[in-house]
Amino acid sequence: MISQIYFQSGENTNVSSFFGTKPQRLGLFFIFLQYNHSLLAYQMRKALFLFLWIFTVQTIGAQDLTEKKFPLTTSVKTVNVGNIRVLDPYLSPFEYSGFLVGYKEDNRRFLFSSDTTLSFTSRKMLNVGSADHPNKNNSMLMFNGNYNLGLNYHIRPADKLMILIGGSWDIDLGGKYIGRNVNNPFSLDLYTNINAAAEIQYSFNIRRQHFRLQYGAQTPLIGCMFVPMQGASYYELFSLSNLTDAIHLSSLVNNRAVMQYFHLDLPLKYTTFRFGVQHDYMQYAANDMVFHKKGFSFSIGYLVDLYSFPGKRNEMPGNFISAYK
Amino acid sequence: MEEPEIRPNTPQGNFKSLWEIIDTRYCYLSYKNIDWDSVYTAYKPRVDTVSGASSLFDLMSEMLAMLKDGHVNLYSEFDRSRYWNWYSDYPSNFNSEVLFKPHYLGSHYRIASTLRYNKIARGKVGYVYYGSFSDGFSDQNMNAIFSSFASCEGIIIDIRNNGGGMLSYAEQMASYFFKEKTLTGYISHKTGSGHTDFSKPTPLYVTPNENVKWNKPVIVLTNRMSYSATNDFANKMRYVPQATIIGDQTGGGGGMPFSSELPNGWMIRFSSSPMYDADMQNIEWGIAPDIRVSMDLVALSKGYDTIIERAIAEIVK
Repeated sequence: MISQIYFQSGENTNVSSFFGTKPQRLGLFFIFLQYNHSLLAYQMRKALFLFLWIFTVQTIGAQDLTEKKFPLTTSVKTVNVGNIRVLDPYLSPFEYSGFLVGYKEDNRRFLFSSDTTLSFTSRKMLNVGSADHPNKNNSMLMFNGNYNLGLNYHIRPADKLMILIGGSWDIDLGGKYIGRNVNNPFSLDLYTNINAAAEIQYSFNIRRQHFRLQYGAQTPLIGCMFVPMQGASYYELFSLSNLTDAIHLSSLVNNRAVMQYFHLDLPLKYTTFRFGVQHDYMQYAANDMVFHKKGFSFSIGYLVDLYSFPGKRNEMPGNFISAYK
Repeated sequence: MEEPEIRPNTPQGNFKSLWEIIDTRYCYLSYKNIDWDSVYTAYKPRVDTVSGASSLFDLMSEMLAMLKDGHVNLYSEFDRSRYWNWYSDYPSNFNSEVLFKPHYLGSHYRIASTLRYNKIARGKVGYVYYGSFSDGFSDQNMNAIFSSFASCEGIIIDIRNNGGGMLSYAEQMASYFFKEKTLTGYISHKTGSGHTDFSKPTPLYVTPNENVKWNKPVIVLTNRMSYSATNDFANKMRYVPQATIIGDQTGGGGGMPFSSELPNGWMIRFSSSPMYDADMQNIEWGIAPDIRVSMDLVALSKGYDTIIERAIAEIVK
């Protein structure tokens, strides 16, 4: 059960200031001892022993809270807008070009509290867009949702520089629609991949203002994908369950893609903003058709640090660690 | 991974693009013995002689008419090419006005979804007119119709001038008349650019509807304008033991159409997936009736449809 969620807006909030400090707790201890020195009867000594035992345990516990590290989940929510170019021969032999708007949520945290080299990431992404025939007399609607889970190993070769190397698994569901087509108006996009991923992160200050730059890339290595047969209708594929040639193993041979991004994280007062650009390139082939999707988008969003723990605690620990540090 | 060459948006580029789409994806070039290379040779020089979009459109339409296929159309912002000889070269065998004479649908017929129905022949025959397989209907609709015909000796399903629509509706309509799961045909699709590159045919079965059934005689009325999904329905009904098809041969349209595009944005619709009957015979040229009957114009002038009358006689023997 999660009873409390700690919310930190960006990185420029001092987490420990929210909690009681150790000197304050020791002050309370001495006041209590003075009161008990005037009552040294046997029963009271017994009571004092009991109290000291409890207090000692509590102090050790407090020290645990202080020394134990609590991995924050840094959540980044961004919206993006950009251009897209799509070739889907099942629908049309021509590349359609248009715009795309989307929402993305990235979460990252250290996998273990005792280890600051291994982080876990999750990403949810939703895009919708519209594109036009080169002659601008027909249009295509499209959407896709992507869910990505990843692991990264953190290398810190220099102060303020961090390199992440890792991999991820993702699944993508989407579709494209050309309304005037007969029996082939819709093309389903469905794939899942194991990806290689890397990121370089550099933090710096300009006039006491903290900045963080990130460049990252991801490319699929192996997976499987749904690609319809060019002449087969979705009636034949799904109503008649003829999917024999529609599911394909994908690899670097028939599926080449790379997603690159460049982010600038900028703390302003109580919020850290993220500004970014992203380039997507994907080309894949199956059933004698070659598909591609190319896009470039700008994004803006904000970061929040989250921590959740079970039980109703009166105190929150102050020793948080962020996978961005 | 090499992407295909895209033709330029010029008259020759659009012509070449159209010719290639048909050459690689149209499914009946071999079946119809069409020498498509000769068509290219004949029409390519003429492209340079046309001026303006409408002239190019007309030339392309003329070329597409060589396919003799009602499922082939070229769509532009100003026109849609068509091949209508599959019915215009034959008697219509249908008159919509006579359907509403008092001894047929009359004026007090019922409409379930878009199905118009009434009892005819002194209540001995149930008559249903279904004008388009694009219009859906439900089991409840059919149950209501069959219930109202419970006292009838048989039913007439009139699909004349029904130009087709959804294959799923054709299968649904047929499902009320089958007693057991029955193989009614096959469908395949192009797998390559060769004229005979087809996938292994996928069998098409009709599974009887569990809740709504009609086990008495059923007569299906057809004419040349019974096309596409209607053609498929007529084919399916051939395998219903108590069914008889009366009228003229259906218009055909056995190839499921797909769409593609030209550099100038015009859309081309063409037959892509051929459909066959249970004996793997193409149904592109239509389904022959069990009893061929033509509309008698003298009887028509007196308010009688000889095809319906023949169907009544078949039920009320």
